[in-house]
Amino acid sequence: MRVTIEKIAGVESATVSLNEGRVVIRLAADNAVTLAQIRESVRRNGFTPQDARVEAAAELMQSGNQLRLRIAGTGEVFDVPFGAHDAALQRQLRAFSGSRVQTTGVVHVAKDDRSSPIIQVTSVKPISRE
Amino acid sequence: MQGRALLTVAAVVLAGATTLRAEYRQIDLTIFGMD
Repeated sequence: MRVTIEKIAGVESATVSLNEGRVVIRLAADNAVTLAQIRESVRRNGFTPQDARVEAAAELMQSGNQLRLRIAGTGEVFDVPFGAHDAALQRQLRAFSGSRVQTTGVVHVAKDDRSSPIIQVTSVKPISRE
Repeated sequence: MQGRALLTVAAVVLAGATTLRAEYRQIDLTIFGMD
């Protein structure tokens, strides 16, 4: 599985621990790797991908009542369940809506094909434009 | 004048490159047994 994942353009390294049931993937700058690609690669190796903790640069967008996080460069969009975050994170999410942010979070597996994947944000800070 | 214009273009391109740096840095994926 490590070799297969490392063949994906933009993947710097992949560390697989079957005992822990984890794959840690480091990515090169300016990559366009999608989480879907990684999940597919894991599936092809006979494993079932579950939740993923991700660190990414992204854009926070407000669409109606729904807050979304878009991983620009890949186009992947995740729903951010605003109410599922604590008050401090809610304040930050509101403040940075419409901005580019550096974020970490846990992407949960979509319940079915029709629902959007959800990200539970654990940290978010604006990206300064130099 | 032309040099200044080129510098401005270069600055804009660089700013754009910074703006476009958007991607996953690390993915820590939980996997579940063999199918």
